[in-house]
Amino acid sequence: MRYLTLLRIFWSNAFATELEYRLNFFANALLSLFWLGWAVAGMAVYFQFTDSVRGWTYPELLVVVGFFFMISGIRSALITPNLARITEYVRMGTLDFLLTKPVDSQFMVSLRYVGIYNWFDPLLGLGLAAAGVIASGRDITVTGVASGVLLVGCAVAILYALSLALMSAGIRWVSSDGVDDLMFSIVETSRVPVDLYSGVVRTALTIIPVAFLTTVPAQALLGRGDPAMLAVAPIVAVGSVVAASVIWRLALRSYTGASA
Amino acid sequence: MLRTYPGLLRAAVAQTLAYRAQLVIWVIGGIFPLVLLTVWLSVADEQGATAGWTRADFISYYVAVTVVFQIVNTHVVWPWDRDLRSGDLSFRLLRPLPPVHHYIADDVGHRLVTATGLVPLFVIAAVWFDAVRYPVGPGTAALALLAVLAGYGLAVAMALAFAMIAFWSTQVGNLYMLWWGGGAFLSGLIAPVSLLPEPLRSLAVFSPFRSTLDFPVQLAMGRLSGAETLLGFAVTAVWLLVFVILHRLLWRHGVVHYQAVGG
Repeated sequence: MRYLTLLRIFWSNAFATELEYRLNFFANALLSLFWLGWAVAGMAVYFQFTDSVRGWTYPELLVVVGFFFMISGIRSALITPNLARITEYVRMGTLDFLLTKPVDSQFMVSLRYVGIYNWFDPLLGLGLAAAGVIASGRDITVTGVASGVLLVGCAVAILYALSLALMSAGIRWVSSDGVDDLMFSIVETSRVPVDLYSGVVRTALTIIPVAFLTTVPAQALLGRGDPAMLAVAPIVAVGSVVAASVIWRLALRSYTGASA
Repeated sequence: MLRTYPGLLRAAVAQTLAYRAQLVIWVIGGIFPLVLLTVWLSVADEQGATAGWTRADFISYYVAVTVVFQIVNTHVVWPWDRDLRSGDLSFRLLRPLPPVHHYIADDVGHRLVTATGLVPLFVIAAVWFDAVRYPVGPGTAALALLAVLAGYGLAVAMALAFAMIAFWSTQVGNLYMLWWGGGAFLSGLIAPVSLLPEPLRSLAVFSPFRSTLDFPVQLAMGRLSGAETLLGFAVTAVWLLVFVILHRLLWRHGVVHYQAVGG
């Protein structure tokens, strides 16, 4: 409960700060729309030559693109503004302040900030995914939406856990915005369904569970998903968040403070 | 001026090298062309040769695009955009060398480091993998190299000309992204230019963007006739000239207009 109150204070603070730049707000909305159109047009190039790629038609691929915008938008609104600052906390010594606060340190580094402009991407992505489902001649079902929402939640949790774990483990060698760039590349591979990859890349993308980011939610919304995923995805999500939390605590144990 | 360049370049290279681990990750960031490759490979696997492009053609094309993209994809707009708003441009104006040379040297230094890392990987891929083939003689290979350098020059000139808009709008990053995004369709990043649908294809051939990716890569793949090669170089030269002149004109007007932020 106390954490919810804190969250409300943090986020309304971020909101107020960013609202000072109102023109940026519209510029960002336009940019989001542009990149969405860009991705939709880019995907169309392949379909001059074929009707489906590995069993995915054009509208079905657009559902994946929609989920890609959702996931990458949520990443840049929630994960990047917080976790990419970790190096700065360590370098400036502000991590010491965070640690002495009577609040869990993982909560502080993970949810202190929120980027409000990045919410256009998830909204537009949602619209594109819905449009893709309808254009593929299917109906949007309650089961589809419910499993889609659950699976997007799992996707965000997996992405967050992966970022936090990599940053905690690698903080000595790479700055946290470096890790953030790496995560960007990983998310970038989820622009297309994992079925399109083959060989070594396919193996790599199974170890880094990229399928959970966009392919699995898109399949669920299209009503052709594997029902088992509804159990597997939450297990993977919870497991990775717990693992990341352990790695964060271990990393803190070897942290000696700014003055040491 | 030519005497200061080696010093500026050394500084830029040293700066880039200070963040080595960062650089590896930054190179991984060039992953986007490879995502596009996987889609084309899926299409080629199911359809056979697509408009005359085999699996091996797509692989050779995108392996080269990945490397050339890292070289030509100049970041010169970003430090400029930042300096103009932070007022740091005022300090740069005080130096004896016109500021534009600092931005160019920084960018070239960065690219030198990236190329030193990537070009050996590229050579290994070309020698090792059967699918990666550039069946051209030394003459054409040299022309392709020249085309990459000219493409980089054009990309920088274009970005710098575009960057001058910031004198009037104080912010040019977002606008440049739109320009770059539109260009990605014409440059050969999204698809080899010969696979674009018709009005776009002709537009691409005469656009400045194609000189930066598709032209050098297809030249190295031995897919261009003598006339097409000549046209490619002519288009590159004309646009290079246009953007250099445009940059100088806009600079002269803009710098008079410039009032340091906070000054």
